Amino acid sequence: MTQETAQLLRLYIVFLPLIFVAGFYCVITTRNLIRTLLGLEILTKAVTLMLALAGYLTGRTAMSQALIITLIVIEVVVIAVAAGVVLNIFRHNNSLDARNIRSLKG
Amino acid sequence: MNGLLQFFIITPSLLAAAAFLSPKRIKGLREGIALVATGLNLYFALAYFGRDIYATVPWGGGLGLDFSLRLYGFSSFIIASAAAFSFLITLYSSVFMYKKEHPGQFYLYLILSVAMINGAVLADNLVVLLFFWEGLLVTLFGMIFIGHKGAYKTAMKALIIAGITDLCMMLGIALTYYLAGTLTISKIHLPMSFGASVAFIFIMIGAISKAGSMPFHSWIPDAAVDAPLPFMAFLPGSLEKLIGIYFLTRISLDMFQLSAGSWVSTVMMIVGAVTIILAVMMALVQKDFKKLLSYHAISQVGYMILGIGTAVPVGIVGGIFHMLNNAIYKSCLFLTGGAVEHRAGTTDLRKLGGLGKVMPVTFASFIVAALAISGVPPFNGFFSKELVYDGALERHWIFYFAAVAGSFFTAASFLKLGHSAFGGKISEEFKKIKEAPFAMLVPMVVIASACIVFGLYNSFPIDKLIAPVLGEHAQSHVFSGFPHNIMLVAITLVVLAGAVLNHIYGVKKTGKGLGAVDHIHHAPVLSTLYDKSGQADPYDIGMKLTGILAAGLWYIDRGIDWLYNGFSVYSAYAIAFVSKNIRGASYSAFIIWSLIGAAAVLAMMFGKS
Amino acid sequence: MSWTLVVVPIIAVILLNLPFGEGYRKLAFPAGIFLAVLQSALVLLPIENMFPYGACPLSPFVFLSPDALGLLMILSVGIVVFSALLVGWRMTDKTSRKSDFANLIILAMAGMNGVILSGDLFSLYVFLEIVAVSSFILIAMDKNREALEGSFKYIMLSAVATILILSSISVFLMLTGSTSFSAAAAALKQGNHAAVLASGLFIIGLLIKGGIAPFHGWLPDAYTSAPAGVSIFLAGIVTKTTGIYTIIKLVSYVTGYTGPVKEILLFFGAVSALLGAFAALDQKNFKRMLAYSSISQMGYVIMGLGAGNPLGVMGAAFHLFNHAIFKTQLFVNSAAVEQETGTLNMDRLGGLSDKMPVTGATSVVALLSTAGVPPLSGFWSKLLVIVALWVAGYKIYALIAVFAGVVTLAYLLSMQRRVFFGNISASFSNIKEAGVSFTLPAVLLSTITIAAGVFFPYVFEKLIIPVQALLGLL
Repeated sequence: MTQETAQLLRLYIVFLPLIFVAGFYCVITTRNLIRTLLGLEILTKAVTLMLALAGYLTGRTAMSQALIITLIVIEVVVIAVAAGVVLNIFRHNNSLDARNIRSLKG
Repeated sequence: MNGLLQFFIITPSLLAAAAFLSPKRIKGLREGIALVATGLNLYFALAYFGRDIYATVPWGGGLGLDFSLRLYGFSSFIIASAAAFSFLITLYSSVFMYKKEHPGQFYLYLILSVAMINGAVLADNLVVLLFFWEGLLVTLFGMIFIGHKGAYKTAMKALIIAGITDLCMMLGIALTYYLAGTLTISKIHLPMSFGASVAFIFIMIGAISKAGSMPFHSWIPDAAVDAPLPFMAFLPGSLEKLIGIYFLTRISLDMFQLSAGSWVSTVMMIVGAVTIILAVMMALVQKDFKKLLSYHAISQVGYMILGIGTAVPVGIVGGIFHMLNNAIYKSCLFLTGGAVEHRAGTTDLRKLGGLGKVMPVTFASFIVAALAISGVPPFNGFFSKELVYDGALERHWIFYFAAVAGSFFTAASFLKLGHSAFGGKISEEFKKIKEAPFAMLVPMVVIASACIVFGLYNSFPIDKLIAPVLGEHAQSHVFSGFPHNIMLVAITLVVLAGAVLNHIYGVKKTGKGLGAVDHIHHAPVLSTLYDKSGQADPYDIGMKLTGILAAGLWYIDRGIDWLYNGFSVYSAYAIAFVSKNIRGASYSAFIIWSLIGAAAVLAMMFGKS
Repeated sequence: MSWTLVVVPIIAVILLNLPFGEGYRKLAFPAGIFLAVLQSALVLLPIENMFPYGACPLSPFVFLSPDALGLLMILSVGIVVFSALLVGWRMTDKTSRKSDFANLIILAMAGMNGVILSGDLFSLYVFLEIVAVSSFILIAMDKNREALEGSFKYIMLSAVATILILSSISVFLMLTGSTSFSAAAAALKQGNHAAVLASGLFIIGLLIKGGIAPFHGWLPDAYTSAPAGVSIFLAGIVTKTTGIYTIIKLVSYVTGYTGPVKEILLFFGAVSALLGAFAALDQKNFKRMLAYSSISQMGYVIMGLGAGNPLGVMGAAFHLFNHAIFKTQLFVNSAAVEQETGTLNMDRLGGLSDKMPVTGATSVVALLSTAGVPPLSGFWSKLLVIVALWVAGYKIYALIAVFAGVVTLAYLLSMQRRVFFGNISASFSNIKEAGVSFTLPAVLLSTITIAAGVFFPYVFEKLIIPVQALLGLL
């Protein structure tokens, strides 16, 4: 393993978990629905980084790129749908507070 | 498959479907199909009688789940008896059910039950047996359900009781498989280790519940009121006893080596004795013809279980013979009850009376059957009861005492029944009724004559059919003919005379046949026994307190049962509450749970690698 | 040509949405029915190797030929989609929404076929997402409060699951440079810790999608608040394919039936079986009770898998199929009740079996099958699972399974009593039996349950025994 790779890996090992934690923290603790979606986006980026790293480590950068692009497309669709749901929730409750969508219990 | 499969299982099933699907417009078509089905079944049963056939269809990828059937002496005997009863009762039903609701379903369930019973009796593989045994749950439920609008409650009750005891039987069978290593019944011979005893008890629970013993009996009196009457003669009256006691015998003699002196045998005898006494006492106070008969049905099963539980040859032969005899006279009694209901429109003993004058043939059949069930010589009941007494006495006098006491009360009860229904004064509205129709009389008379025949010529059933079942156990004994122990016979005659005296006393005291046993009901110790046994219905108590959990709660210790019951219900609801709400209400809570679960999964993944 | 199972529905959706007007879009319904029936029929035809492997044109995706369990799942997908389309089409009001519903179902069907047929980890992910996105939209279609809430919760949990699955895929990629099943399996065989971590993450993600406790939080809300046709669809096949079936696939092709994996399956399966059963006891809403029942039944399937012997795998596969049939049946009945009475509150219902005899009778059949009463199919699959657990030495788990079965019987009987027996309230005195769209699938599903039970030997030989092969793949 060359020095570059080692340095890169060190950076990754420090920052990737940070991004993951940040993403999960954002999703779990925020009360604003839009921020939840942003948290999902952060997590998606973290995974994208992992895929890029994988491509670099094994030398198969082309495959990695293809996977990342597919991933981005799929996540766009998911976020679009999620945003649509959030928009409709807003229309019902006139607020983006996540505490309003706790009514289904038991 | 040597015709076993086709004739005994597939043909009745197809004809059952045909009976159900046949158009209502063609009058009598359904009854005709049913008669053909049961008649064919009887023909094949007799044609194949006594043959030794073993047939198997292997499937299941070598997992031992072969579809194997075995016809041999005992099972052919049971099938022939079941076939005879089915045919006669179908004949009877063709008139009785003519104007009632849902005849199509009735015949469907009836013929299907015949197929299921054939399958269960013939089965040589535990799983196949279980399959057909459980299939009877469906027909049981169905036949009660069609009785009338509110009958579903009783049908559910029967289903729940039968379902739970079948579950016990399944556990017992699983345990047996584990101990024996094979599912083929004819190959299983287990010594009574502790594990085997536990398995035996579980299977016994299933078998005696099917036969209608206590404490699994509470659906039978309800069904007597709610279900169509031929059903009572058919399933709880005869067929379920045949199959329940058949299987009980198989596990006692073939599959497990029941020995006199094991605690299992003692348990069986206690269950039998308790059933005899408690059920007959409850029968004493009934004011409805059908309910009274149903409690007696439960009581008689006690004799069978006691007989087999003695684990001595004479007792076992007695128990099996009693099973046959009981099927005979019990179904005859139910049929007479049905004839009364058909003509008089009611089975309430307070309203009936004096029917002996207008329904003489019915009355005569009733007398024969009542004498048989009370154990009067020379009818069949006398001989089987003597054998059971002999066996019980060999084990412990207390069981003998219980059996004889049971006979006393049985005789008293039937004196009362006969007096109030057929004797005494006839009320105005019944003066004009006629004797029961021909198609109903024939089965009654045939069966009643069997009581006489099997009594006088008891060597035929005992030596030819039953003793061979015992195999090597029975070599040195001769069971048929007049009982050897003259002392026992003398005691029986004294007891019967006592019952007659009791009846006369009771009639003098209260002035009518119905009150003949009231003094027993109100006697000091006995009245407490009545109260206790009235409460001793696990099903009722469970149903009242739990509602939802009625399906799962049987308790053992009567003394703390309220506490236990309350605790189980409370804890079940508490667990339900926790399970419902633990997940949380917001998506954040869900995600947190998922992360906790994720940590657990990862810990497990790395645990042993 | 197994790829046709995926490509044809997708092309159908494209064709059905050409701008030719409203009436044209309504063709989605017959098209969907046709595709579903075709799919089921193709599986049942006695032709060897019905869906051979063949390179899919214009696509980098690898589609395998379906193994025995895959065939069973394709059959289930066809049957459930058929039922869901019939009921959903009838129950959705506006025409535009009707066509949307049908189109989304067809799209999801394509996705599920893809999940069943996929040959490597990443394509598995893509098709999982296709099904997920279609489900999100389907649940929220009516745009009422509860549905949106249920959909959003599902989105959140599904997204978390996706993240975990993708992380797993990227770790496998890092280790082996490829996303195929065999490469991942090889990495695991070497005992590489990172590979173990990756397989663990994948399993967690699938457990979330399958609704196994404690990852089940979204499931009751999503099933209950979705419109009737969508509930049928979700409960019958979506969760089962994307979650449970994929776990079976993963364990068979990648991780193998190793000790830790079996432990995980047994433990979480038992927790689900018990938790689902108990939670179902104290429910007022018909669909919610059925949702918890699904959790419980999937617990059984996972436990059967965890037993790790041929009987267990076969029992799990057969129970998966049976569940698709009887749970769909129960949801169809609940849809019929909802359509006729307008409520799902079991305290207000009662006595419906007089007015709705077909619904009541088929509900009894489904109930008996779920509780495991012979001679219905549920008896056999439950028996197989319990015996498999006992024989494999996991006696405690076998007893847990039996106990959960007793509780299952309890809540099902309670449901039947509260909805169909008892006294009918005055406001419902004019209801009739639900229409053909409800009774046809109900009768069909009941017939399948009864037939699979009665003709069990035949079904066993033809469809279930081959499933054993899943054990020996690694």
